[in-house]
Amino acid sequence: MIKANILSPILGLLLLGLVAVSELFAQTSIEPITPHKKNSGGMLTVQGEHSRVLLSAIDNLSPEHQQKRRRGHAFFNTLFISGESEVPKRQGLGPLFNGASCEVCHNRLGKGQMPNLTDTQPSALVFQLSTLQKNQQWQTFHPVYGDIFNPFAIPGVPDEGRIEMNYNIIKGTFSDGSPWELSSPSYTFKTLNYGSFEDKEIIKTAFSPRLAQSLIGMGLLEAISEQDIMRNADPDDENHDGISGRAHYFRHDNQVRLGRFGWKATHVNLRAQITDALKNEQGIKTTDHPHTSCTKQQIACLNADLKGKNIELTNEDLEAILFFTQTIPVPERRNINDEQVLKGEIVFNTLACQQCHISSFRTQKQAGLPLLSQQIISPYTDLLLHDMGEDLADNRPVLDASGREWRTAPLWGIGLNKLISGTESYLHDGRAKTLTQAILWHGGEAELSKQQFLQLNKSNRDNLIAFLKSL
Amino acid sequence: MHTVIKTYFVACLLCLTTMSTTLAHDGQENGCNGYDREINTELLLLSERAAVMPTSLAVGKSYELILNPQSEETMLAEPHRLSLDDASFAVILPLSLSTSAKYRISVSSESWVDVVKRIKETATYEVVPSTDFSGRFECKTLRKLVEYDLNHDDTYYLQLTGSPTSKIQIVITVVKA
Repeated sequence: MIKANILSPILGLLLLGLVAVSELFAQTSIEPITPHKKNSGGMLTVQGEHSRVLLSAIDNLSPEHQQKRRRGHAFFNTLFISGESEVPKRQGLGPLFNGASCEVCHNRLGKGQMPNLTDTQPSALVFQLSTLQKNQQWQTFHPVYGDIFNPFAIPGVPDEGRIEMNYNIIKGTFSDGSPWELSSPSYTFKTLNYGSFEDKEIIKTAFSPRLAQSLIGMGLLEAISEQDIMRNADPDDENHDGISGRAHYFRHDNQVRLGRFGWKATHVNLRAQITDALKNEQGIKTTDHPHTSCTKQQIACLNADLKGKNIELTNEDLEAILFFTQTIPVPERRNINDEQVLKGEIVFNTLACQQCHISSFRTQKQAGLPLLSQQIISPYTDLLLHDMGEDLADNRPVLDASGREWRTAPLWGIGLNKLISGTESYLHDGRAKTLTQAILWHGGEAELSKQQFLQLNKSNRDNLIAFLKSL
Repeated sequence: MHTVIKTYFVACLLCLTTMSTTLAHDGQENGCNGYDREINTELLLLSERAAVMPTSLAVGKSYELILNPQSEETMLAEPHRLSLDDASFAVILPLSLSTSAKYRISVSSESWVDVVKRIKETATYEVVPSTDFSGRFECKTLRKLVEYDLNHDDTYYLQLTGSPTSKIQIVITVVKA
């Protein structure tokens, strides 16, 4: 829970130094943003302020690449099916799954839509499972339910159960007396069709809800060099600014690799992210993951899986999906010379948001792909892990990321979330319905920034939000 | 005579009410209760005997459409959702509309629904933006519905794409204000 009215003495002293924050901003001269800042994705930037902006055609691709991209896009949209079919290419769904296509969760390539769990089960909100073993080691797997809780199943196979979601309302006020309200989610697993989460081999089961992320500029993020990411890391906070971004290194394919995708940077590249999602969330077997996601205890699931193919998506088709995902564009910034937006950027920097939401990278050269090569981009992320405090913690360590650590979410395109996805839902579990709420949930390394935000007057809060909406 | 007619009328009414209640109940049992709007008319029509492969689609009737391999269809306009040409079925049929209204197109199984308008001046076609949609994977009778504002004096076509099956049932209804 956020303890809105309790400030640590240190924070209190620091905040005293921020007296008359609005005056400070009023005195700062406003320089127009240079035009290149408009193109957050370099050459892979697209124009438009509408729901289908991420589906815009991409120029500057060879005819072969255009064809491959189109193929990948079609697969991305394809609803896979189970059982006998007139179209064998689409067979392979399940037996257990969360969504029948990539597009179900990444609607118009944007963020997932939060479910209304009173009458329907979530697709875009996925519940990852972990267990604490008797040897006190965490394992990102449940012996009966697997890596991910699957609320859907093909006919003849029981789904894993139902999830109910409730919100606890937390209220507080800004220093100017304006009220704010947050919703803290809680979840209940019901009708567990494969028995209780309890198991004699485990001490406890933990879960972490994860909302499907926007796919904006994924190929550009992949093209940032490891060296450039490491340049912003400060795991021991040697500069004593209270922010200690940590690169997430872990073993992958028998090598220690840097993770950069997923809410906790648990995937080293897009291919790993995509094939994991295909396996765990759609039940599609690929050459990278040729085995079923059914566990040994899920007999009906195993039997149904035996009737399916060994590889349900060819490597060629997987490559097409990968290429499409790598070339998903970045929307052009809007209203960049509005006074409110310009002032909001100053607030953003003054609150030290830019310490983690890094605004500028240059991508590495990508063979045969000038669109992704040596582009100056503004993703507003450092791709590093940060302690975000107890209120956001899922208390579920994954690989080398703790339960309190989260990868800095990219902010590019965040101003178009509502247009693209139809709803506003921020943070890993979509609990924040507005950008203000998302800022208020920040804690840990971002606690000071949040406290400064609470001290802002309405005008500067609005300026900051206007800046974020211009991204 | 009057008594006989009255009795007959009441019996019919009871029969319809029972049918409607049963359908609503069946709809719920089939996982259709997740819809956020009234769909009893569509469920009722979809349960009726469907006319197979008409030459045009009229309002308030149930049709079973026979789809062609998508690679063999020439689209009037680029579908608003790309799908696999070599793993999908598609069909294009004219709509027969007598009034300007908000129309709901409901389909029994997976497919992408586009309404395409013929632009008289240029003799070209463009996809009409939908005004609303809803869908339930778990509803076995009515997989998806899409709504459009359509004018009766324009020429429209239904363009179904991306279907994994070569048969699909469809109904078109007017959405009550």
